[in-house]
Amino acid sequence: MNPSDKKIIEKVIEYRKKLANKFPDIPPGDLQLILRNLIKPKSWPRRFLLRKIGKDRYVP
Amino acid sequence: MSPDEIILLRILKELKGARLETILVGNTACALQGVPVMTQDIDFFVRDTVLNRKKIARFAKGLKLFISKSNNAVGETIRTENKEIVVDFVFRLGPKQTFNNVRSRSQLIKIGNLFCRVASLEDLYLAKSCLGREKDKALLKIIKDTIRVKNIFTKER
Repeated sequence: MNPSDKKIIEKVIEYRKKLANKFPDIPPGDLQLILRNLIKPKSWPRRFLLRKIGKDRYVP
Repeated sequence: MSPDEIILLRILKELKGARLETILVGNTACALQGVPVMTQDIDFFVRDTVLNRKKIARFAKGLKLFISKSNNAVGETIRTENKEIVVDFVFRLGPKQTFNNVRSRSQLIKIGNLFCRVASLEDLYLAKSCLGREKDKALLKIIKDTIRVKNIFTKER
């Protein structure tokens, strides 16, 4: 993994740990995803569209 | 840029060409502001005028999209689509959310070399909550969580 990408992920985890007690009702996985989306640099791809590839089957 | 951003940029270029003023709403707007969600369509809020309906037709023609109309919880929706893209245009959000009000609280987000006007998370939450749909319940919670985290995070950072 690219060292700068690793640093960002570590930062996300650090913030998640720091903020976890303020949001006990938010599952840690969700909190981490929210923080990741808020922290990630512009160079990281933004994915938001799902494509249907079959009955009840979707892929990003 | 990701393939999704490339698609959105194509749409924004065509909207600009059609001179149609829009505000991005729905799950795409949520995702661009940090909410961990995905979607199949791209929704825009537009003023309901005869001219705008003509502009939507021009937009659809430019991207070779098929046009259909439907009525749902937010009133009339114009859907434009092909095998790759689904773009919806809505003329109403929540009962107290006029185009100008939503616009005044929106923000501009850069996609490629263009700016996209995106409704605030607070307006997106309000719009979804007014619909009262079962499928939005989980989404409402994650939008609310993102607003809370964003508020604390920007203060603490």
